[in-house]
Amino acid sequence: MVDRLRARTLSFLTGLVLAISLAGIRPIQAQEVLLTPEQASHEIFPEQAKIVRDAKAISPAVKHQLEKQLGRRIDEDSLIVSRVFDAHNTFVGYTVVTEEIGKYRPITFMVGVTPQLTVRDVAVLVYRESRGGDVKRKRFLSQYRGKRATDPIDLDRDIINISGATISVRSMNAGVKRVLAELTAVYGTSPTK
Amino acid sequence: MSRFASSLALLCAVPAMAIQAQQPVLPDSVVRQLTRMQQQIDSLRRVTERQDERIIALDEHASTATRSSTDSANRPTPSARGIYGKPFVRRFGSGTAIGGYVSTEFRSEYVNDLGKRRSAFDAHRIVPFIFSEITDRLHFGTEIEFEHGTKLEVEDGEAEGAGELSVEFATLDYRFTEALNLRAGVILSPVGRFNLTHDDPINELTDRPLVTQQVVPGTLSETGFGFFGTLYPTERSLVTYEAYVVNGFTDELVELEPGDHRLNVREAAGSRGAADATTKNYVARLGVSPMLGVELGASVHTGEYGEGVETSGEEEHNATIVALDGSWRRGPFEVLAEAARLRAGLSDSLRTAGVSNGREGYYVQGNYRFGHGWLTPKPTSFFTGVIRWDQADYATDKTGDDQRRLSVGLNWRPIGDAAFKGEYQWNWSTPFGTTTRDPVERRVLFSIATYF
Repeated sequence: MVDRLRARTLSFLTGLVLAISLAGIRPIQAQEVLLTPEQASHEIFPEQAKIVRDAKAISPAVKHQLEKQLGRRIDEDSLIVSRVFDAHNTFVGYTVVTEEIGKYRPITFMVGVTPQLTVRDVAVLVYRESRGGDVKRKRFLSQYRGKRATDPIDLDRDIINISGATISVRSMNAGVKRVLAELTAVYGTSPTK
Repeated sequence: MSRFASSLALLCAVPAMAIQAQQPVLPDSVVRQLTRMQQQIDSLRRVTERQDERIIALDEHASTATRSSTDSANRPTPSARGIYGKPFVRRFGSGTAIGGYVSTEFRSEYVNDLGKRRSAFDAHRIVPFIFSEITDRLHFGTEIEFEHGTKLEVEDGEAEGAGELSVEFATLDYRFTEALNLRAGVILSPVGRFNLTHDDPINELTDRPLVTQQVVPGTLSETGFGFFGTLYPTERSLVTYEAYVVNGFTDELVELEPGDHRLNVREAAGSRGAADATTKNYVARLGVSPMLGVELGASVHTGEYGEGVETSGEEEHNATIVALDGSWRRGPFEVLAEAARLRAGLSDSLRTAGVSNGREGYYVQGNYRFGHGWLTPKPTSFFTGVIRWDQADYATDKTGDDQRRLSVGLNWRPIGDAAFKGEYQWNWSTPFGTTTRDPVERRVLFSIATYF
């Protein structure tokens, strides 16, 4: 029994070492560019045929209201929004590229939002941390689908944590909630054409 | 960037060519082009400088931010990734970080054997940990545990005093890929999920589950080598594994006091050092998460126990712990469960003496989080209601000698990394050799635990 187990263990370890040799050792990249904004936009809105970029000013009054609503400081004075249209020129949603600080470095991601101001999907564009990278996977990001500005978007309320990536998860939560609040403040809840 | 490089190359090349050509007058078109390129270079330089300033500002913001903005609040479902799942709040250059956790408690209980109630404060654990990224691939992590307000004095090479001091783990990790990492040192043994995620601030109850103390001898850490990693078979699933060869369980497993019949698993962990020959045991855990919020794990710790010196004519005996664990999370709800069984081969003399060949047990726990922001600090505070059922059989092939426990608790967390825990327990025990339960022993516990 023990001899069999030893043999199996040795085989397992040898297999792993061979796997390393065959697979090669890829360099570890601290800054991982996962998607360009164009790729992310197409991923969130596959029907995308045209985009129109808006630069919307955030007035001091709106900024103050957002800060009160979100309980945090808002640094931006403007919001760069891409409005997405399909082949029939029908407005299908907004995309906003934004950043939030992870544990030490910013995470750059795109929030895709429907005309009804619910999250269509979220895609991470650049991940710079050496840990906590699970937040870039669909496994985690799909939780944001359908979220509204009025939802908690908070750990253990409507977002499941990733163990070992709690800080990155909190950053993503804060970023998605901020984008929803900013879009609501800038465009209101009626569909925009 | 390539435009920038081309421009630089052109700028360098053109003057050199000009000198060779005995300084001819440059045509206006070339001058205009050079001027445009210089402007582009200046513009790019300004953009780069702005980006650098922004990155530096973001870094400074991150490193000087208050605890509430950088801590890992809401860490109730613990990481199975050991040191990589812990919060670190101070970094001392060159990638070294330090942190830790502390827990202190009060317990009041009625003890049947004493026939009276007793109570005590306990500075239960002070556990500093250090983590260092020596290179991108090579990492070191350690956790040193001081238990029960350790006060030790060394006289004639012997430590005397109260409490315990131990290196909980001290591992060197070398990362080949995310799927394959080498680990060596004093390893936190992956036998069940709880052994990997036992930090007091994470756990919702003050007392640890019986099965994780009495069947898996937690906190179980052993010296050895092996591999761990994470695989993503599909977009939504995740598989983690750990597999190590470690110094095996010692003869302490069956070194019992006269009249004792339980396997002494809590003292059986293998030697940490190289002073003695040891047997080798194999320990591994496979975790499968088909979707976020669901994880199932299976673990095994197996091999020969003893002193590792082959003696002719002496029988070899194995000890094996098998554990299954699972967790489920959805919104504010969480369910945790773990079951483990220990089986050991025994010599004829031990069997004749009535020593049991095994232990087993399980626990099931439900957590419900509520009251977010009811109390200050409002953005981060919340309550957790907890209920847990524990069962452990300390002598599986004998009558009696088992324990059952029902625990209910209410915790308040000002942030996810700190907990004020209140707990009430009912304990039912059946003495060895009988089928009649002793009267219930009730216990009240209060504790505070936090990462720092």
